[in-house]
Amino acid sequence: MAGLSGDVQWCFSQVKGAIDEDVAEADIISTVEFNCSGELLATGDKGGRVVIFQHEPESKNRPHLRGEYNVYSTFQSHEPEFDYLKSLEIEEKINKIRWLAQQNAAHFLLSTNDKTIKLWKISEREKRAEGYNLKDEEGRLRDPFRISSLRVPVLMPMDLMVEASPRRIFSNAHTYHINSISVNSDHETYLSADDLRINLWHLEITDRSFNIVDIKPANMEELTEVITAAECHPHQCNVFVYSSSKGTIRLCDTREAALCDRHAKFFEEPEDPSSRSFFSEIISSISDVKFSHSGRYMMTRDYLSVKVWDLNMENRPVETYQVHEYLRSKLCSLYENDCIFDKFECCWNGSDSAIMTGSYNNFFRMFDRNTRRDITLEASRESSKARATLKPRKVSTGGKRKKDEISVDSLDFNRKILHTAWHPHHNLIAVAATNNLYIFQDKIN
Amino acid sequence: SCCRRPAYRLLHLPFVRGLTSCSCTFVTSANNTAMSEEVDGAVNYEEQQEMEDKVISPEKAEEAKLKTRYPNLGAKPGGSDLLRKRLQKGQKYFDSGDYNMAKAKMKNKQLPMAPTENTGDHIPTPQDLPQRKPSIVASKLAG
Repeated sequence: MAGLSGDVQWCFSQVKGAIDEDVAEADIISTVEFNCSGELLATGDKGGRVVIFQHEPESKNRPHLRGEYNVYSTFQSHEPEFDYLKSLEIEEKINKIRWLAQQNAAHFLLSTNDKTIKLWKISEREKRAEGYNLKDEEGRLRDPFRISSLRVPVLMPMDLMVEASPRRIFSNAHTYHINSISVNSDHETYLSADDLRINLWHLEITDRSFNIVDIKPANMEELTEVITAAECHPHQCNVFVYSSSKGTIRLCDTREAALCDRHAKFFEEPEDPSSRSFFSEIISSISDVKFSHSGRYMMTRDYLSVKVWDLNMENRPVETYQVHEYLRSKLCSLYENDCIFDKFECCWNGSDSAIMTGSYNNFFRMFDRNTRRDITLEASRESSKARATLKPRKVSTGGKRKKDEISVDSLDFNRKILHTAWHPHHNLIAVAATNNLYIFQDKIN
Repeated sequence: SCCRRPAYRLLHLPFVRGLTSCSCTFVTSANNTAMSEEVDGAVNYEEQQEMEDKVISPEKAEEAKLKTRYPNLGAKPGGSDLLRKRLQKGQKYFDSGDYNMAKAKMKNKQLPMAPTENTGDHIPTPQDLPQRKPSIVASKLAG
């Protein structure tokens, strides 16, 4: 796969979702995920709904694009619930979707809200039986006394129907809010993490789960940090990592002990104590952690930067990329309007040569790890003309604002890109901008 | 939508400390859209005082700004207060009755007035009934 910036020219491909100015809260996209082959793209929203798009190869009419994504299936994954014991509402918002590796004709994914994880099976049906004896074509029962002959039902082709059915429901294992799920490379287990605990499940068993990490202190007054994200290693089924609100990452090995409270590795970048401020801990909180496809590196996203860590080196990251350093002088306002608590995600490209993360004003940033070049692009309706190349954007930080640059104070902090996904094999990305899903790909000449 | 804001963020501000549900009405002063105006050249009293800090660290300057606006903020921001409220995210209701009333209020706003229906001339059988429309609204992404 080609590298970035100089080599790749990103073009608009598609946009999904309504153009209304008034965005219903339920339509806000809360997670985006490609499946292992990249053929399917799943989105989850605050209304608890999942929409799956399928890649359809290019047609004769539009040979220049590498095909497009169209709706394949949509279903209501989670519904709002009320916890009667605590008098609390449980949101139906889908926090994460993770696909299982495909093992037969059907596709499986895990979707989770704050409390319950569900395993969904998405299967195709292209045939149906016709010629029943006891019921007619509309399904109404026939009078048995009127039946004078028997026939064998025949399978006839029908219009493709995609069905989604919940195969497993994993509930009642989390007291706190689930922030992550991750499928293990053994294809049998997966982990789910909430603010204080991580549980290990078997995909076939719903009435039991093993608690493998518990950081809840005996006295809640002593609570100093929470778990913010967790992920299984892509190849070593005994290794997983979890990040904390204090900016640290712990790597655990399930072979060491049943309860992995003691980490095998502890990743933390040393901080200059003289530069510490009220905001230091808040902006160091890690909002996302992702292993590279190779399994050699991991990437963490905190409020202002993205860091790449070599799993063999715990004392500092090997690469640090500034996402929007200009916000450092705006932390007071960002604290007041809560934006400082926004949780941005990050992702790798298929070859681990580039990384991507979102920012404000519908900007998103891509960094090429080899050339060290970066680019800022915008997901907007204005630049959404078919195959139009995206123009790089720039935020002016100094006093003088050049033409085409945007000043920090003009940024729209309500238009934030928290969720992005990169196709596992091609230079094709999905960017969630509030209630719209943008798909961009590189220009094919 | 402001009622879904995690309670811990609101409890951090001194004037809403102690409130439980729906403290969002008190935070209208926080401008959610635009940033506070930073006019080049105009130096007010606070900025003058923190001019030295600004040269050293923009972060510390922002901290000073925050402290002048909220002098009662606790010394340890990332400590138990903030985290405990984060763990308790979600709007609390007094009981299930309170919850159902709130849900009903939301529904009433959305449902249009149903027109008076003509009653039929016979008792319907299951086969005569029209197919039940799904009550859940589909995602606009699938449109």
